[in-house]
Amino acid sequence: MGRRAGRSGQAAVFVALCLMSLLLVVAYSTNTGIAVNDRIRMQETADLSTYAVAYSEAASLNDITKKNQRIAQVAKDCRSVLEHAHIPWATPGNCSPTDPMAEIALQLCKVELDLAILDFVQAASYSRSVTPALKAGRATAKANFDGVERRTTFFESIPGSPTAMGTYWVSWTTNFAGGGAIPAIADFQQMHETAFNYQFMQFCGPYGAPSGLVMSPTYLLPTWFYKDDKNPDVWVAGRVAGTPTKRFLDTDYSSGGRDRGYFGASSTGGDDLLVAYAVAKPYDGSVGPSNLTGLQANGNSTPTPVYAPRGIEYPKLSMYDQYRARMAGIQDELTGGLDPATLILLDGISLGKAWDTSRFEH
Amino acid sequence: MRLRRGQSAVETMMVVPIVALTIMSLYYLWSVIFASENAHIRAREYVLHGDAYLPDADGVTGDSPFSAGNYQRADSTSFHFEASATDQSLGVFGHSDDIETKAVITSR
Repeated sequence: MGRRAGRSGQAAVFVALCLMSLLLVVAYSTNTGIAVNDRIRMQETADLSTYAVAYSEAASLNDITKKNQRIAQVAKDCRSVLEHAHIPWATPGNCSPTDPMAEIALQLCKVELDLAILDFVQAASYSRSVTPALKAGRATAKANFDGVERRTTFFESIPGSPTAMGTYWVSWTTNFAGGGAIPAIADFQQMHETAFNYQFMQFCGPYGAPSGLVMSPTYLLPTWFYKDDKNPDVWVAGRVAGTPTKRFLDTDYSSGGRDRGYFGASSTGGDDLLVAYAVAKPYDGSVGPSNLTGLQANGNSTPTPVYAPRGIEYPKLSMYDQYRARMAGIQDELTGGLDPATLILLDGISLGKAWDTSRFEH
Repeated sequence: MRLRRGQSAVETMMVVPIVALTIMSLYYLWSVIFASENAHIRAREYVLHGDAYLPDADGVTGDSPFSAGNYQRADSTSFHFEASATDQSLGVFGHSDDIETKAVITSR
């Protein structure tokens, strides 16, 4: 009897241990499944929202390119007007070094050019190009993983990011008030050296008789925008983070955080943060000519009189409004390995390594 | 001693269903999560790559900035691309779940 009494409850203890183990396995499996699922959704959200920013920027760049085409077209039209169908301007009795009618036409050209330039500058501004792009990114984040848009950043405040306000500029010096520089999606510089002139008949002879055909003075008018070689070389780095609403078993807890607890998540106490990074960029378009030599330099960087038309099509040929967007990658080679911790660098958090934009591959 | 005959069998009969139920539950949970991940990935790939992504894939529909072998020109800052994907978890207890997910690229 004593022997039997000693063994009573043995099975209950055994069953209890088994059930506890099973419960732990179930809990851990559930945890893992939910964490993996959330992590996949987080990466999907990062990819798509970053792509949305790049797509919106690509659309803005196409719009900006069209504005630049418009400026070039106005410049071309101005030249046609000043050419006057190759018939010299003539105002009987005029002995001045300019022709009054041609001067009026020239002033009208200036006004039209200024309006077209203003249109470009406004379209290229940060608030008209980058701001709506960032909004699109957050809208996409919300649509894919509701709640994470509040923890979505596109590194617009990190120095070196092309989306950083103030990093890139539109520069112009024109004859309309307020000329200067404003933040824009990329670095566009305006060419002011384009020369305009016209041929006219001077009446300086006796009794106002025609004295001969002369060329007017050369006028330098601001025309289209040019840019540096690869500008705008815009990439969008996005970071999406979220704290799962359910608590997880913390497999690699560190009170200091950044312990790569859950699939790259940062674990700081009760806060298991899932983080995903993505890079995308607009490509395959060109806002305008670059300041390189050769054809791309548009062949019109010197104030040569333009009565004989030249070079006006060159800049238009280099204005290619075919921007689209694609995903890009993150190059890890420079870090000497594929340590996932280097990705955290994108967050601007120092881990002993410097911010390095060369890590981005286009 | 005769009273204890069959005790192990009874205990085993009690434990086996619990273990079986647990394993089947885990299997069911795995299949649901697998289906969910599968659907999410398929929707994501489709919304980025459109028909270029497994053109014969079942249960994936939507539109995409990608067609004719390349990404399309970005026409407007107002855009909306959306893809839906469905997948079915494996049948457990005579039951399976249809998992439907969507992936969105939008400006609004």
